[in-house]
Amino acid sequence: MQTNPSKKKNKEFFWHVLLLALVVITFYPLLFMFFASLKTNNELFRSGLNIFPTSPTFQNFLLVFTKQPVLQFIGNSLVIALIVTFAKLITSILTSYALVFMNVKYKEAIFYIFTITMFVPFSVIMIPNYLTINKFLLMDSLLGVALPQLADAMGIFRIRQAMRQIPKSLVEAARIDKVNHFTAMVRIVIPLVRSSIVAMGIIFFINSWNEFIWPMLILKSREKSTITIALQYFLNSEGGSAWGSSMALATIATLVPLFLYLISQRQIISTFLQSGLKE
Amino acid sequence: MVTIKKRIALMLVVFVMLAITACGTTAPETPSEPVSPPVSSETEEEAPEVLEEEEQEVEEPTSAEEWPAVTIEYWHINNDTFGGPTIDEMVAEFNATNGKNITVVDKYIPDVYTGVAQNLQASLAAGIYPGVVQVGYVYLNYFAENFPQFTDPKTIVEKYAPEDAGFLEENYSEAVLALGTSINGRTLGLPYSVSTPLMYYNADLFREAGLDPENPPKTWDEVRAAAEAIKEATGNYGLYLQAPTDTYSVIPMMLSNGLESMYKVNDDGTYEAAFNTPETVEAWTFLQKLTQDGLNIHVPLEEGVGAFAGGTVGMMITTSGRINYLSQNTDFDVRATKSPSWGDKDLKVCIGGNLLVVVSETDDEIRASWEWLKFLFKPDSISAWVKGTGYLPPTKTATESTEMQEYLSSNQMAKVAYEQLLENAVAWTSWPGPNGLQVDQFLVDMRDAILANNEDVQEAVTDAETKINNMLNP
Amino acid sequence: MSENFIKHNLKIKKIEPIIYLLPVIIIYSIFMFWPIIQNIYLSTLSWNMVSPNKVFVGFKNYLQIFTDPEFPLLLRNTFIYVIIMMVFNFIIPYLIAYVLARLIKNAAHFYRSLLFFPSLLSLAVAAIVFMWLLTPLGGPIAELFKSIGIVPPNWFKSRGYVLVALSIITAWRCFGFNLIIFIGAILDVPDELIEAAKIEKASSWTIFWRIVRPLTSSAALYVFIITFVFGLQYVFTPIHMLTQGGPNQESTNLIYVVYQYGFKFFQSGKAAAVAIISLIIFLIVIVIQKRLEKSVFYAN
Repeated sequence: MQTNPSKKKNKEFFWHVLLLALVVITFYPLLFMFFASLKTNNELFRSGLNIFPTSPTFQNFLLVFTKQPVLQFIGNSLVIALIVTFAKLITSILTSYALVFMNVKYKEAIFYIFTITMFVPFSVIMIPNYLTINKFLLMDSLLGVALPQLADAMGIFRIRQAMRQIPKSLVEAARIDKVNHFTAMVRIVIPLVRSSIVAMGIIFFINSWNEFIWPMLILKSREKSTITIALQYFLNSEGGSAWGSSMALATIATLVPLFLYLISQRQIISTFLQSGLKE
Repeated sequence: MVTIKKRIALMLVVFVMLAITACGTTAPETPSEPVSPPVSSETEEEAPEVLEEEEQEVEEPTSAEEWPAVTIEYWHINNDTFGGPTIDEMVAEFNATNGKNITVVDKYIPDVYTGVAQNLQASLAAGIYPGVVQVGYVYLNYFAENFPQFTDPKTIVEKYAPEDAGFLEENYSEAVLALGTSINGRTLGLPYSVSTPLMYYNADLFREAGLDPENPPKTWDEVRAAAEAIKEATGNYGLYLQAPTDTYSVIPMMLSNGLESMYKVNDDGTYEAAFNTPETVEAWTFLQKLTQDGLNIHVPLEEGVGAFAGGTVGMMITTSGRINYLSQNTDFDVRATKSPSWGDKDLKVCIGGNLLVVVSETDDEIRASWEWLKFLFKPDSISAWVKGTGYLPPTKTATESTEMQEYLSSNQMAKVAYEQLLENAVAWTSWPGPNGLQVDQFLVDMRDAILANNEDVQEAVTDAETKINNMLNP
Repeated sequence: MSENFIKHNLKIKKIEPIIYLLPVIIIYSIFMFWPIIQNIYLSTLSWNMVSPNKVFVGFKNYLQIFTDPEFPLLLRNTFIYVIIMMVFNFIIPYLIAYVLARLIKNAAHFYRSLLFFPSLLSLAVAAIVFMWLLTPLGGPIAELFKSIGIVPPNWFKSRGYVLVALSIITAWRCFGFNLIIFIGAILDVPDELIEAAKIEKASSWTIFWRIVRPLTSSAALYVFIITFVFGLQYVFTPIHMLTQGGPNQESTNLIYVVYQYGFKFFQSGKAAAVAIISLIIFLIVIVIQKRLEKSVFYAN
């Protein structure tokens, strides 16, 4: 009985050690990536367990920037991500608003049909969408990448969830005062779910930034590549090998999500904490 | 609130975009059209392909501006560490000096020859013809069978450039021209990049291990001995036998151990795999043991090449196309010798690289493509190409030029590669039928089954044979 | 006049919601629902996506797939991927979330912010970083193994190991996200219940198993489904970049093989057929899991 407080402390200590170990394991690959980008190729194959470069050099970054149109990659990623993010937000907001505050027949059914699409594996729609984009003559274009991604089931799910927290009476009161739905949505509802919208926006942006499969299928020329699929260029089998430069490009690609995370981590995490899966 | 207006504006933009893309195209109903080159389709064309039709030419224009402006694309697989800069230079020179108002836009295609095939498929499905395309030899038959939209050199010469009538005969030996000829006898294009697999070695590591760099291993037994010595003396791996997702280093193993050909044609016209022989099993068993004993490392291509260039692997068997890269990116004495043979049996290696195929639609584009090809095949263009990559000269005329003669005799690695080309090279097997790509993949799988998964060699070979026979005769 | 006015208004009222729903309806129709139907149609053809000859072959593609000796391998690989990812992306986050939410007093925010970060990175980055991390030719993991006397495995060229390596890459990236979902759900468990159990000297494990688990079962179901459905799709990227399905198809799964058949061998009919088969399998698994969860929940 008398050792209870210290037993508790020990236990907590143990958990902290475990968690710290987990954090170290999780971050080791990132540190490895960063420091490797500062080593020369020869050193990389001979450094063994030593993660730190003996004489750090920026030559890999230099090589990457001069040999690859990195700024163009970033630009392309940006354009696609912005189009997709705004489109997804707009469509999610409109749809959620209608499903929550308007009289729609078969509301539940429609909602389920939209969100069930989350579970359709990409492999099923991959080839038909490829053919469709081809037909629209949008192959190898940023628009071709963005077009199939203008709506998002998870976005609808979460924003609807957030909107449901708002008492319907608010909107109804406004409507009695002859305010139409659009104004109600924009002036009343959106401000109230603003943090969810912002968080979802950031998630959409980051997911689009990191996307690989679909841009890889659609974008064929180097000028149109996004920074994520540009990483493949360092795995070209008829060229040379480029451990250092690929790490440099990977580091560059990580900077945007890192930056966004640093400024908005609380919002992102809190959106997902309220998973609210009790429907 | 600014945000409302912004939102509305964005909504409108999105809807407008949707509307345009959904309604504004005149794309054909089916994803592809049975278009053969002279017939034009009614699809929109992409920006780079600006085209102005001209009425019948009565006489040839004399100044550049009088020619119709034509733009074609040159699709290649050469990134910056592998000939990319050389291509940029050649394109710039051609655009400035061709005098016929032709503009070539070079387009790097990632994912090597598979990428080219995919891009081409997408492009043709949308009715867009690129211009000149690099096609890997291994895709020869597949291309001939599945992409009817090309124009072969003989037709081009006959129809558009009768003054070049002797081009093929003057420039090519029969053996090399055959590289560009498919199984149904049609010459698809002009063989351009030519490579053979060399065994590069680290002379410094050799010396450390007590081996003589002037006398590199010639047979597989000698390779094994050398690898053992290197491992003992330095702890490094002895050999990296390249392991990409193609059969460049797979097929020669079998052809060099007494196999005549990978497949044969039966009397009734069906095809049959012919590589399931005791010698093949013997060869792969040797290689399996080499790998199991830690003398050969079986890793993905980038890792192996990088490790060799970093000085931690003694020998490496890979394409001669890496000569330039290795001479510039290693800090040790790097040399090359021929691929090892099986005892005193004839060494046979596959010719790698690509041929240039014209995939153009209109007469002007075809002519422009031909001009570009002629430029690429000028002896000094070929010299630049050879030196900038490590590929070998494909044409007699280029090989006989003084520049090439000097290069081939002074550059140790290029000299070996060229000798090997003359003495030991055979065509890289291009499978017939519509499933050629998958057949190739089965051989890659077989290699991995043997060297990576340590499966029983005879079983793996028989397994591959069964699968391939199914694919050869669908 | 007023009758028309009312009718007009009512009409607007009826149409209005449809206008709001229209964008998503259009987008999903073109890029989700129609493609599914198109895919079913494709699966009955033998077509290489380019040639004008589309040959109708009925169920032949399906037959070919089921009788292909590769099919059991596909199922096995898919199954192994799911199992490994379940461990790293379902079981472990569940437990760690419990620790973070209930078993430590401070610094929970710190840990979870850090652990969440990899979920924001691209799998392409993860793939290329892990490739060099794990390379037997001088990578740190290999050196670690060597220093304790084990021969470092050739991860991406060895049967079995390759599945583990690829799953770890995917798991590394997805762990944080699932962790957060679980934390949220566990925090929602009423404190009184837990306090009550503690008073009765229940062990942490008992509290977890008897109280937390049943009350977070809907979150668990969600994570289970996304680990299964998304995990198999996420692993596409590392497969494509590092092994292309090899060695000898040891790392391909029901999702990746669709890409191989469709874009590598240009056998789009076969590709579509596999996609449909995997869709059906997915649906069955999800339905079974939902039924199981329901019964477990009500039993508690």
